[in-house]
Amino acid sequence: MSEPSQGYDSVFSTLEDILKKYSADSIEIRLEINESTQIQTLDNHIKQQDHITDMGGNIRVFNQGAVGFVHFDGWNNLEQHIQSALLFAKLSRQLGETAQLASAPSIKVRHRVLIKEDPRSVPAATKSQVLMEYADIAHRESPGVRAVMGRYFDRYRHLWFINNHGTQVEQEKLDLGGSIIVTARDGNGVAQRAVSFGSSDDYGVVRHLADEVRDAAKTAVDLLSATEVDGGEYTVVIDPHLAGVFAHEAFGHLSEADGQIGDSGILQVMQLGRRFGPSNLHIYDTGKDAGSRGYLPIDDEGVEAQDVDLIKDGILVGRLHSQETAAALGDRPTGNARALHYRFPPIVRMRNTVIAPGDTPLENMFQGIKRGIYAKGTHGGQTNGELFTFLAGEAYLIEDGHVTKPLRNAVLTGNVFSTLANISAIGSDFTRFESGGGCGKAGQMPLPVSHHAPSLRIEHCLVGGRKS
Amino acid sequence: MTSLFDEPSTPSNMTWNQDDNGEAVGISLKTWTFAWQTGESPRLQYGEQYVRQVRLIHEGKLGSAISRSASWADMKAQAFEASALGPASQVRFRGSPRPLTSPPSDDPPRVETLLEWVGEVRQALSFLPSTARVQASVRFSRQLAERATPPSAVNYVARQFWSAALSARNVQGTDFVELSRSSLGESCPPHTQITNDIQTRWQWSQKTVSIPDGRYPIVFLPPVVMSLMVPVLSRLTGPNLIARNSPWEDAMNQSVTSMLLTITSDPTLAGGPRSGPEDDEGNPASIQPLIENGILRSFVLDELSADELGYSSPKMGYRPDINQLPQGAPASMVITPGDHSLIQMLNMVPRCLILGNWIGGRSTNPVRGDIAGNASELYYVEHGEVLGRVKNTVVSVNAFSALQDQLMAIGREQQWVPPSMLQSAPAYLPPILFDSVAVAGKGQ
Repeated sequence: MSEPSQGYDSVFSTLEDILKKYSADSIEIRLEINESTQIQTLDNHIKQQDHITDMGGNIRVFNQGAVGFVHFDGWNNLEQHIQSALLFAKLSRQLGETAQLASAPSIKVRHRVLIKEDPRSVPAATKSQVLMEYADIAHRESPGVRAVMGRYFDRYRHLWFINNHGTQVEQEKLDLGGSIIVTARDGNGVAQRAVSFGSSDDYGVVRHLADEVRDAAKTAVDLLSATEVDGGEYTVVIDPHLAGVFAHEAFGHLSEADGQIGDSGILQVMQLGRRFGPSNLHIYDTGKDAGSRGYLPIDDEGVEAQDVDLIKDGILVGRLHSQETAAALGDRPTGNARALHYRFPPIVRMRNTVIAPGDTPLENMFQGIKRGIYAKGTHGGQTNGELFTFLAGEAYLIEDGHVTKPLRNAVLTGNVFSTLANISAIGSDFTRFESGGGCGKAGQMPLPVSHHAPSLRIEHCLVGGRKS
Repeated sequence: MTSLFDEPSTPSNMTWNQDDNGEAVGISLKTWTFAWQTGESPRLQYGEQYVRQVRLIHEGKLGSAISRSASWADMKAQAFEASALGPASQVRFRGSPRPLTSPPSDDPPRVETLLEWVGEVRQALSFLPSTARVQASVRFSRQLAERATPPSAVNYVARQFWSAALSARNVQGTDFVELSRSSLGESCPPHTQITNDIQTRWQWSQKTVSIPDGRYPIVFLPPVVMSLMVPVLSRLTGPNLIARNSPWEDAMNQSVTSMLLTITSDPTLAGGPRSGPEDDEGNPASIQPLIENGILRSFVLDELSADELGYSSPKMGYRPDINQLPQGAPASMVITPGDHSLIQMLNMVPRCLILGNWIGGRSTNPVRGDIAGNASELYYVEHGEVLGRVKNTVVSVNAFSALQDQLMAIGREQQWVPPSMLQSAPAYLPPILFDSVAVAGKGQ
């Protein structure tokens, strides 16, 4: 694959010439060349190994308050696509409702990703072999391990973005990740634990997972005999991994401004200046954290990344924006407009959502809890703005301040607003966790995101379970 | 600059050798979408994609390649190379026994239909308060796959369908009422089908009631029934069977659910995204019982999985997405309807709940089937009358226990549940009444 600009020197000059022929409030052209590898293994077998290349782009037109969007494979017929997008914007206006774009400084940038170890230089056979070696490690850890599935992907994107306001961005993006899923099975049923990994600049994260895989194998077997959690209200302590997902699911999505505009009720709830948590709660979103999967120095509207404080000192202070949502709410764009692929228009998405560390050592988080739950890791989460649900990867009963026995099927749920207010301790164990999953929204999944956090203690958390 | 990409060539351009065992598939997908949300610009979108896939078996091993840009010759070479590390397989790729040998019409839909649908929906929602935010979208999709197999067989599979989705949200303080409904059809789904349903549930949601924790009969509406089908599929499909994770691996022709339940894969339903005479591997498609009156009748397998497991292929190989190779999946997952209307089901018990949606209603371990979701749309019913909406409540269930021991009645009104980010199969499902479902809440 070419380095930025190599062999593509004429891209911007050609696109500039095309743009000069057309007039609209905003016309954007995005072109991409993508290269990806996907591998799936089962124990010591390769189940799937694909190397995929994409080349295509899209045109987005904002004109007189309406939008036309066209995406295409290949780089042919760009002028025809622009004409279609202009026509679609004109037709869309029939609905009568209009919106605007907030202005952003024009930039001309060529951005290279600085790669520590490039996955494209690692043979597919080596990548597969690493996954199968982890399967062997898990099987050797316990005979109760029935199967080990390995999943690995890497995606390299080379993008060119230009608009008729003078912005030209050529950039590279790298994303890689995956998981090792250990399944244990006995007469009691089936239990799974996963080790997940991800990076935006280093294939090396795939190595050195052996200890985690051994721990996953042991935990999966332990879970077979775990007691099902009793549903009800608990004080819970959640580890940094789960706390990060909490920040993303329970609060981050609520901060995405496209979920707020046109909704007077939620704008009232999310009024800046309102208290949302304890005075030491600080949640922010950043695209500047190199190496994290949420690294995004320039977004897919050509806007440079801003660090966005969402909650500072427990007070709601910010929102995440695209140019359209920023205009609607009178704010500045924040660099959060993201598109999974050229098939999609950019929408407001998180990048790396962070809970800043507190000052409570982990061992002190359990003090005074008569009967609670310690939840570690996650199988994912979901929110609708008001409510959230997290599927804990592991859960343990806390009795009289001590972690005692494993529990099965712990699902933490609650009301976003009351749960943030119920955070009673923020740990000092800040952890940069990078998973191999991704965020889903409006059909765009999995988008690479990160969440870095310390452990949290939350009072009155609702936990689901059949033994009510 | 405009010629950086070679014009798409069709898979019939693939050069096969006499002893090649493979397939080359070129898939084009065109979509027209109109979307509108309160406060945002209306947006009309068009997209066209063209994906090439090659699968072949070389020296007993499978290799594959997927690209939107590479030449067929390059892809064949890439698939050969990948086969060195690929899984063992004895599959023989064959041409369709009843090929469609010329491509069907490629006329675009009437774009005004999309615009009119959204306009009519806006008018029909006048019962909502001005504070409500509405999202509406309608889409027409057309997919054409051209499949070539050695030495020179070529055939086409064409599918097209409409989809429509509507959601309405009203926020008062920290109380969210969010109602959504979607549908599929071979023509644009009538908006009344969707807006009438939203109106009914809007009326149900206007009062809130508190209920004590406990176990209740609950009517799961079709989107929630789909949450239970995901674990069922996980036990029926190839990956878990091959990994020997499925507790149903030795249960063929044995009872696995209530005898009230019959689940089929149906490729004949009009409007289904995968409906058509063939699956995505060139096999004739037919209605296949998966579970018949509670008895396990078929696994859901593509050719490769069936070969690896040593079973005869049930011919259910479908692509979840045009970027992916065929996998074992139902055409449309259908639960045979029962005799009961929703009103009749609500009157079967003195008190019950209706679960319309839940947040996180998916299993931590699909093969095991435990699900606990935060009920975002839950109504309390006494003597058939909906008394109001229940908040701050978790509904917990094990999918397999529910379908085996707690299933009381199956409704007669089926509804499309389109595929989504977390659900790969389209489904056509009725509401189901389950007994004794665990409910835990904070109260009000």
